[in-house]
Amino acid sequence: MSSADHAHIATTHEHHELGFLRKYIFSEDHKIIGIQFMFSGIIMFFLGGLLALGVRTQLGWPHAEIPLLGQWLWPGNAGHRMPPEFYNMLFSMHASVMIFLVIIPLLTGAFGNFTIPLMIGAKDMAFPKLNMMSYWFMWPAFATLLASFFVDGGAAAAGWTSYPTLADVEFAAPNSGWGQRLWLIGLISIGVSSMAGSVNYITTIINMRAPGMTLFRMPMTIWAMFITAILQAMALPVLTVALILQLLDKTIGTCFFLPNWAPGQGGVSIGNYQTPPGGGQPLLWQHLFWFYSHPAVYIMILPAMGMVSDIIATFARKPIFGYRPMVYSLAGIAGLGFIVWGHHMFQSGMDPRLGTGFMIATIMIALPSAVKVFNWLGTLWGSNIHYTTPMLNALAFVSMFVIGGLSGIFMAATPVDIAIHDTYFIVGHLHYVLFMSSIFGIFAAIYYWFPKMFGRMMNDTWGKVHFVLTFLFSNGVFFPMHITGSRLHPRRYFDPTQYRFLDEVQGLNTFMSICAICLGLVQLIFLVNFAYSLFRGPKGGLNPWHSNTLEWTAPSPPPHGNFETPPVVYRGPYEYGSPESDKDYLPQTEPPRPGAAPATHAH
Amino acid sequence: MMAGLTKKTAVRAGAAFPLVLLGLLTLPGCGDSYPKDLNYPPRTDPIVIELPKVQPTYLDAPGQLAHWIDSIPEKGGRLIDPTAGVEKVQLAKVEEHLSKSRFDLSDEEVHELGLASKPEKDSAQEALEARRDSLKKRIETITATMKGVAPKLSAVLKDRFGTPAAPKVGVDDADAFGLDTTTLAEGSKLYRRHCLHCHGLTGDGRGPTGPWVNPHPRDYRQGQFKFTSTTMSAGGFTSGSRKARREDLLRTLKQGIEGTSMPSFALLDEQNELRPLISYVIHLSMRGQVELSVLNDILGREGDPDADVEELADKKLKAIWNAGWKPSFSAAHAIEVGTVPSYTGKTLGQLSPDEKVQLDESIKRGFQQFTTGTASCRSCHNDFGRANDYRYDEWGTISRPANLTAGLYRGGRRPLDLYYRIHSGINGAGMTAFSGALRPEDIWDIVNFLEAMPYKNMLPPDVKAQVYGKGKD
Amino acid sequence: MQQKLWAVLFGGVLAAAAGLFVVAPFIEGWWLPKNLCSFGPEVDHLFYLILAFTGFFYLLTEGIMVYAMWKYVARPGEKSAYTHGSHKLEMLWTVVPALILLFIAFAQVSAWSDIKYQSRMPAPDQVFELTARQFEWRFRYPTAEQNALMLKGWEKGKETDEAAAWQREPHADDIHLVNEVHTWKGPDKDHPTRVRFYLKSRDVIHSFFLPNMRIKQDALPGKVIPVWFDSGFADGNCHYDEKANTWVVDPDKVSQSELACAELCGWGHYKMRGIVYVHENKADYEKWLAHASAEEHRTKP
Repeated sequence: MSSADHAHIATTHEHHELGFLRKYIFSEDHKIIGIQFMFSGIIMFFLGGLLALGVRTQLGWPHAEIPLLGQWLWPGNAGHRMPPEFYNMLFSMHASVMIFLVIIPLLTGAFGNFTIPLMIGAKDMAFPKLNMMSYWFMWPAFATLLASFFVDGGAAAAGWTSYPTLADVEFAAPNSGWGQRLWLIGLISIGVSSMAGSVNYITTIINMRAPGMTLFRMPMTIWAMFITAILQAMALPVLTVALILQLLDKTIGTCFFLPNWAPGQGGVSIGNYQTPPGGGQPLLWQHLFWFYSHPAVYIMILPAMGMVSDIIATFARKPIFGYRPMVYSLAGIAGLGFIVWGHHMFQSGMDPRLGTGFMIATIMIALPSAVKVFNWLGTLWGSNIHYTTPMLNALAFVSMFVIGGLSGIFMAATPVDIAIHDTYFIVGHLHYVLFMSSIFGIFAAIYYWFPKMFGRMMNDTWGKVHFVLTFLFSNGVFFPMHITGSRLHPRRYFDPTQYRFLDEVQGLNTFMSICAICLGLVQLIFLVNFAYSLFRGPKGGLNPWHSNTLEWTAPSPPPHGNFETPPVVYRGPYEYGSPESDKDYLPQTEPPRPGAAPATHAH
Repeated sequence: MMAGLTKKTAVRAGAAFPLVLLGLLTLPGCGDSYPKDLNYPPRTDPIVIELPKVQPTYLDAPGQLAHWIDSIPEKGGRLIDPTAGVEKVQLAKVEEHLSKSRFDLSDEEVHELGLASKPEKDSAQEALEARRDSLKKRIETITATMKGVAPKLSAVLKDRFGTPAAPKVGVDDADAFGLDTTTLAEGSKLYRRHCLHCHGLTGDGRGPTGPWVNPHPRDYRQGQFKFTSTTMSAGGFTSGSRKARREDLLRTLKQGIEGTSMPSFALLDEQNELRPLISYVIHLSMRGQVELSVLNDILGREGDPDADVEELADKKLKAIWNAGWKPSFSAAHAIEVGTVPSYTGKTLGQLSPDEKVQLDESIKRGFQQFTTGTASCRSCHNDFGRANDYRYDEWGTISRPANLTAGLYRGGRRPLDLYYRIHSGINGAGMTAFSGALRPEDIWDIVNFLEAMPYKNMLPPDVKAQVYGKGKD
Repeated sequence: MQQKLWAVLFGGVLAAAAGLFVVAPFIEGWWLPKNLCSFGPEVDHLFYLILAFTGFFYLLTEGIMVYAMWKYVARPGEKSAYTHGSHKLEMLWTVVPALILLFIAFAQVSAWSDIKYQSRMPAPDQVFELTARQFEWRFRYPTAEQNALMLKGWEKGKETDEAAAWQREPHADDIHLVNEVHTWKGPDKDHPTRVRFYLKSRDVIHSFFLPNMRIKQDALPGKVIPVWFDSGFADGNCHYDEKANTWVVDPDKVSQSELACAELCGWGHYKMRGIVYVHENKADYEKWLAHASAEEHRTKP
C-alpha cells in the first residue's frame, strides 16, 4: 500500500488514549462488546442451569425434601417443601433466562459482534455507539429479571410463554404481580437491545465489506448472522408490542387480552377476586407472541448453523459442500419461519382450519434444514477430519440437530400434535435443538474463536473431557424425554406421581435428573478451563487453526480498527485442499500466484 | 495444572466423578414424610380477639394477608400478638407523634395509636405519653411472659401432640375416633403432599400459597369450621363448641369448595387417604386451638401471666375434646331435618302436577321468609346476594354473604346442605343459625326458594319479577 | 487409530438412542397409552408413519456421519477431496425429502379435520358441559330426558337449538359433578358412544386432555369450544360398589381412565386430575345418572 494510504488511515483513525472505563466498560469496539455479551451470557448460562437443576430435582424426587436448600428457602411453616408455584417459577425463569439472556445474546450479541467486522474485513460496526447501547440495554433486563426473584410473590411463573389470563391477571398466580411486570419490562429492554444490534449488523454487512468480498464470498457465519439479523428486525417489534400491551393490561387496566367469561357476564373470577368486564382475547397474545417466538427459535439456531459450517470446513480441511444451497437454505428457513407460528397454537382454540395451513408450512420447513444436514455430511465425505474440541462440538451439533429436527416433524403433524402437545415430547425436541444444537454450537464457537479473542488457547484435553461428558450426560437427560413424551407425560407438572398412567416412567424422570446434576457439574470444567486460559493459556498466534477466513489475518487479539492494512479478498472462504495452494488451505486474502489460473470449482 | 494432565487421567477422572455422585444421591432425604427432627413452630402471628366495628370496603390484596391482620387494631379491632409486634409498631407511631409534637389527632390516628377515645388538644400530649408508657409496659410484659411461657408451651404441645412426622393426640380415647398414631402419621404424609403449601405446617392457612388466594385457606387453629351439620351451639375460639363432623370434612374434601381455591380431592381413596387426612386436620385443629386458648388466657386482658402452662393446656385440651370434637363425632348431635315435603328434593321431571303446584307455593313462602319473614335473609343478602358488602369473619379475613342467584354454594348445593346452613348458620362467617327462629318446614320452604332462584323459569312469575325484575332479565 | 474412537463414541450414543426407541414399546408403561377412541388409530398410525420415515432418515444420516467420522480421520500430508458440491445431489436430496414431507403433510389433513373441524363433528350420543377452573373440572350433565331432547334431529356438523340453549342456560335438573367424565360403551365397535361436550373456562387457559382418547383441547376463558370423542375401543371400566354406594373404576383400568390438564394454569396445574368412567352400557349409565341426580337432590342425612 502507498504511504498516502497509510497517512489517510492515520488521520481518520484517532489514536487518543482511552481510559479503562471507555476501553473496557463503555466500549464502542465491537470486539469488546462481543466479549461483554459473552461474559454475561456465560454467567447467565450458569443461572439458567441452576434453575433447571431445581426443576429436575423436584421432578426426579417429587416428595423428598431438598437437602439444605429445602430448610433454607422454606423454613418454618412452609415445612421445608417446595411450593408448586415455586416450581412453575423455576421452569419459567429457566426458559426465559436461557432464551433471552443466554442463547440469543451469545449467538447474536457475542459472536455476531465479534465475527462480523472481522470476517468481512471492516474496521468496526457501522454504528459503534448504537452497538454499545445494544449491550447496555441488556443490563436493565439483568436488573429486572434478577430483582424479580426477590419481589413479593416471586419471579414470573406463567411459563416463558406468559399466556393470559394466567400472566395477565394479577390474582391468577402469586407471581403474576410484580414478578410478571418485571419480566415484561426486562424483555422489552432485551428487545430494544436486539433490534439495535440487528440494524447494526444488516448495515455493516451490506455496506462495509472489504474490497473483493462479494456477498457470495462471505463465510456462512456471516450469512447466518445477516439473515438472523433480518429475522430479529422483522419479528421483534411484534413481541415488543405484545409485551407493552400485556404491561398495559397489568398496570392501567386495559383489557387487550382479558375476556368476558361469558357474553355480558363480566370478567374472569378466581375465588373472591374478579376482573372487570373485558372484551379482549387471550388468543391475541398467543398470535403476537408466537409471531416473534417462532422466528426466535430460528434466531437461536441459524447463527450456530453458520458457525458450525465454518468450523467443520476448517477442521475437515474441505470446502463446504453446496455453498449456495446452504445460503438459500438459511434464507428458506428464515422465510418459512415467518409463516409457521400457528403450529404452537394447534390446540389453542384457534380455528382448526388455520391449523391445516400452518401444518403444511411447518412440515415444509424441515426441508431446508434437511438440505443443510446433507450438505454437512457432504462436507465430511472425503475429508480429512482433525478432531479438535471445536470440531467435536460442531459434529455434535450436526448429529444432535438431526434428532431435534426429526422429532419436530411429529409435532408439525396436527393430529399427532393433539396427543403430544404440551408433553415431554415437545420438551425433548426443544432441548435437542436448543441445548444439544445451539449450545454445542456455542461451545464450538467459544473454543474456536477464543484464540482470536484473547490471544491464548483453551486447553484442548480438558475441552475434550468437557465435551465427552457433556455429550453423554445431555443425551442422558434429553433423549428419554422422547420416551416419556411418547407416554404422553404432560409438561410443567410439579408432581407427576398424581397420575397412574405415569407410574412406570417416573423412574426415567429420576434417571434424567441424575444425568442433569452430572451435566451441571461438568460445566464447571468448562468454566475453569475458560477462566484459567484467559490468563495462563498458551499463546495461540495468528492462525492456530490454519483457517481461511479474514479474522485470522488480524492480530490475536485484534487492536482497535482490526486490520493493520485493510484486507483485499480474492476468493471464497472455503478453499481448503485447493490445488492452487501447496498448503491444505488458502486464505481469502492471499493474493493469487502470478500467472496461475483460478482453480475451477468442481460442482 | 493443565500441563501435567494426561488424556488417560482426564478420562478416568471424568468417568469417576459421576459414580461418586450417584453414590451421594442414595443419601437419605428421599422419603415422603416430614423430617423426624422437624417440630411445629410456635405461633407468632397475632390472635384476633376483637374485630373492627367498621366493615371493610375492599378485599385484601394478593399476598397481603399478614399485613391485613396486623392492621386490625388500626381499624378499631384488637389483637393479641405473642411477639408483641403489633404493640411495637404502635409504640413507634406514638413516639413519632410525640417527637414531632403532632397532637392534633384524626379519628383514624386515634385507632392507629390504640387510644380509647379522642383526647382534647391540650391533654393530647399527656394521653400519648400515657399510651406510650402503657405500650412499653405491655411489650415488657408480653416479652417477659413469653420468655417463660414459650418453651413450656412448646414442650407441652410437643408432648400432647407430637411432631409433624409423628403426630398424636393426647387424649385417652383418641384411638377410638381415628386419631391413633398410625392414621395420623399417614395423614401427615398426605397432608404434606396435598395440603401443606396452602394450609401451612401448623394448619394456619399461611402456607406459601395461602396469602395469595382469596378467600384464604382455612386456619384450623381457631377450631371453627364453617360448614357443619351438628346441633351444637357455635361458640368462638375460646370454647370447645361446634366442630365439623367427619362427614362434613369428607364432603369438603370430595366436592371441593366451588368459588374458592379449595379443589376437589374426590379421586383420593376414601378409606386409605381421605380418612387419615381428616384425622390429621382434626389433630392440627386441636393442637392449634389449645395453643391459641392458652396464649389468649395468659396474654389476654384478664390474663394470668403466672398460670401453670401445662395445667392450663391440659384443661383446654379436655374442654376442646369433651365439649367440641367428641360430641361432634357422635350421631346424637347430627342435625335432624324434620319431615321432608314430598315435592322437595325431586327433579322437575319427577314432579307430579300437584307437586308442582305445591312446590310453587313453597317457593312463594320461602320468598316471603327471605324478604319480610322471620328469617329476613335479605337484610344481609342484599338484592338476593347480588349487592353484598364485605364483612370481617372471625379469622379477621373477609367474607361476604353469598350471591344466591348464582347457584354457587361453597358448602354444597344439595338441599340437605342448604338446610344445614340455614339451620346452624356458618360458624365464624356471620351467617346466623336459624334453628331457633324457624320451624323445619319454614327452612324447607326457604331451601326450595333458594334451589329455584338461579333458574329464572322455575320461579313463579311474581317472585321472578321481584328477583329479576324488569330490565334485570 | 485412536482418533477413530470418536466415531465409536458418537456411534455408541446414537445407537443407544435408537435402541431406546426400539425397546420402549415393549416395556410396560413406556409407550403410547392404550387407545380407546375410534379416531385414536388414525392418530397412532400417523405417529408410526412419521416414526418410520424419521427412523429411516435418522439411521441413514447418522450412519453416514459416523461412517465418515471413522473413515475420514485426517491422514497427515494428504489433502481432502477438493469439491464444492454437486448439483445432482442437491436436486436429489431436495426433491425426494420434499415429496416425502408433502406426502406426510397431506396424510394428516383428514384426521385433523375429522377430529377438530366443527363442520365434521358427527352427531353425538351424549352431550354435557365442562367448565375448567383453577384447579378442577366442573361438569354439568343433562338428565337422560334432557339429553334425548338435545339429540333429536342433530345433524352432523351442527348443533340443535335445544343444545345451544342448554349450553347457555343451565337447567334446574342438571347434575353437577367434579372431575368425573361419565360415558358408556356403545353396543358394538361400529356404534361407539359419541360424546360431544362444550368446553369452557372460568378463569385461565386450561386444556382438556384424555391420553387414552387422543383428544386434547385448550379451554379458553370467554369462549365455548365444542369437543368430541368416543369410547369406541373402551371396555366398560366401572361397576357399582354396594358398600361405598357409588360407582368405582376397576383398579386395573385406572391408568387408562385419566384426565389431565395440558396447559399451564397456575400452581395447581398438576392437580387437575379427573377420571373417565365408561359404563358397561347405556342402562348402567342412566342408572348412575339417576343415582347422581338423587344424590344432588338429597334431603335426608
